[in-house]
Amino acid sequence: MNSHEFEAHLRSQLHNHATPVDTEAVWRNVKQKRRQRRFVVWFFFGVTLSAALFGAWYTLQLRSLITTPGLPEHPVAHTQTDMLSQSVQQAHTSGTPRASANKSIAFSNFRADKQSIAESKTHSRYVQTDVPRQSGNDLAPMLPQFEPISGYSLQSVPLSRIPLHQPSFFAPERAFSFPLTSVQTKLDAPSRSKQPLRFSIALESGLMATSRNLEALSPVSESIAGLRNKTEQPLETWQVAVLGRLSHSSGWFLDAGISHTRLTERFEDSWSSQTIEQIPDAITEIIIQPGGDTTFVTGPVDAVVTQSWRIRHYNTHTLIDIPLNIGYRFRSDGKWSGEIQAGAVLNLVLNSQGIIWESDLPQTPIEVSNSDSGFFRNKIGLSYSGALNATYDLTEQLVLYGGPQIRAIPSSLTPEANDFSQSYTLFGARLGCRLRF
Amino acid sequence: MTEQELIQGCQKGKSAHQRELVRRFAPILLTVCRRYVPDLPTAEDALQETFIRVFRHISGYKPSGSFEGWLRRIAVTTSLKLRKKMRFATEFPAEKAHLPETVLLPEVLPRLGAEEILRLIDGLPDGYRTVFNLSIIDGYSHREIAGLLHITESASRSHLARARKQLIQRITQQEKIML
Repeated sequence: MNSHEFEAHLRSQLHNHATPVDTEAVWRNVKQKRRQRRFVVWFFFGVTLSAALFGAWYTLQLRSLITTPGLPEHPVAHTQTDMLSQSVQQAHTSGTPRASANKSIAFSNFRADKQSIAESKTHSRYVQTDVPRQSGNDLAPMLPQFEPISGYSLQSVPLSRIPLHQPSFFAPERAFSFPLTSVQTKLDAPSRSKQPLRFSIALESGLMATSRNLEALSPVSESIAGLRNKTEQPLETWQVAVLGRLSHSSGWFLDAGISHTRLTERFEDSWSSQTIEQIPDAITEIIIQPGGDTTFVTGPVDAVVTQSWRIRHYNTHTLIDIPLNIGYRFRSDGKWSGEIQAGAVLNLVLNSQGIIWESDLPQTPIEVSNSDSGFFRNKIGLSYSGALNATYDLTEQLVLYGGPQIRAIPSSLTPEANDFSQSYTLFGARLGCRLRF
Repeated sequence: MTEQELIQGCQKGKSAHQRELVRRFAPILLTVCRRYVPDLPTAEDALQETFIRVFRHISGYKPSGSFEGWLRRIAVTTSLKLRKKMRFATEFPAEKAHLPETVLLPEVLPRLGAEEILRLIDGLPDGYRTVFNLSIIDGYSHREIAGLLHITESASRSHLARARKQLIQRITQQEKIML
């Protein structure tokens, strides 16, 4: 019995063999498990959505409370001035020595005009300690007029200070840090330019490591996906971009421009195949006669021919994109400053070329490009990026910057019809220079 | 209900059709799962996971080949994934000395039933058993096996040859004991 008969017997026995199973129990379990998974997915979706909505609401809430000096309706400002008036009036009417108020309290953090705060920028933001004390007479224009009481003299007695910020998380007068201290940041930071909006242009280049996620969209393609993951190795990614920037004096900025990104992968594989070729006139027998004569018998002979291949090829994916980023610049008094930015990248063109194993398992890997085979898409839509920058002002106009960046390309480079999802995450660093106008 | 109606119903997410699909194919797919995982309870888990994946992906099913073949492939990949998840490593025994060729007598085979064959295949070393099942029973090519098990094609061929020899030896030994 040869091995083919043996294998055919095993196949026929096992292929249609059914193991008895309670199908109703299987169905119940499947149904329950699917319901559980759906619940988990929706639960996390709900939690994430709620967190995002709460975050957005909270940010907007805080922004509406912390704005420019034009916040006359601010409840804290009212409270503080009311308390001040009350204290001064109390001091007056009770016949006790007249109180004098610290100027910072009298004007309150919210009512102070830009100039008065700018003058005191070398001092604490919230409590002034070395401003000369004002006598009650200095407050006269702000307070109701009254007649001096005979027998009493005026004395300067400081009132206990009213805290301008409280530790409560939801207290509106809480001392906010970046990016919500817009008033203080604007007033304290040395302004490089008087213009509220400023335009600059940048040229940058980046080198990133490439992480690829290639998976089959249906289980039948998983073996090919495994093979492709084994034979294709993502290498580095280069990126060059020209970006225009519109920056606001508050520190916020908007970047837009055009970028060129090239992802490189290495395809490497070796394989062999065996074919049987028939040699028509091969020597099949040698007969040596007793007398020494030799006879060669020829005839057809099957010869096994083994062919081996080894291929190494560098596949590339070239993307032309329009990046659009929003960011914030942390200003400093010196030449160094920091930036944080995030945004979306709109892909205009994808051009892919390379060699891969295709899903129908040919004898050799195929050469693919999105222009002829349709194996890759011509554009991939949106991807997302984020970056941190350290910037150094060489001159007033010229700035150097660099820092880590990350880009996530969730859209697949291959169409769904090919049964694969091929997405990327890039992380690395970039360097650039910016010219301010 | 024809197979076409069954598929269309499942694609629309109809519960009755999904139930019918489970009823019709669970016994066959459980046999498939049993061949790739170490025990029956794990095979049942793999079966359950197989149906979950089937219902998730059936909307993208294109009727180009056999539907049962499509289901079998899902069962195979799901079982292999589950085994990997359970950290049940595929072990390939070290190369041993050359195994003697054993000739199987033709009259032996008809006496081997499906359960008996399953038991004999189960007795093979894990790596050999997986390659044997994938190649001989489920018809995967060596290239596909290499992709699934992360081994080379030549390793797959050699494991298959060794699995075949060991299985024939086991059958012969069993026959001798019976006689």
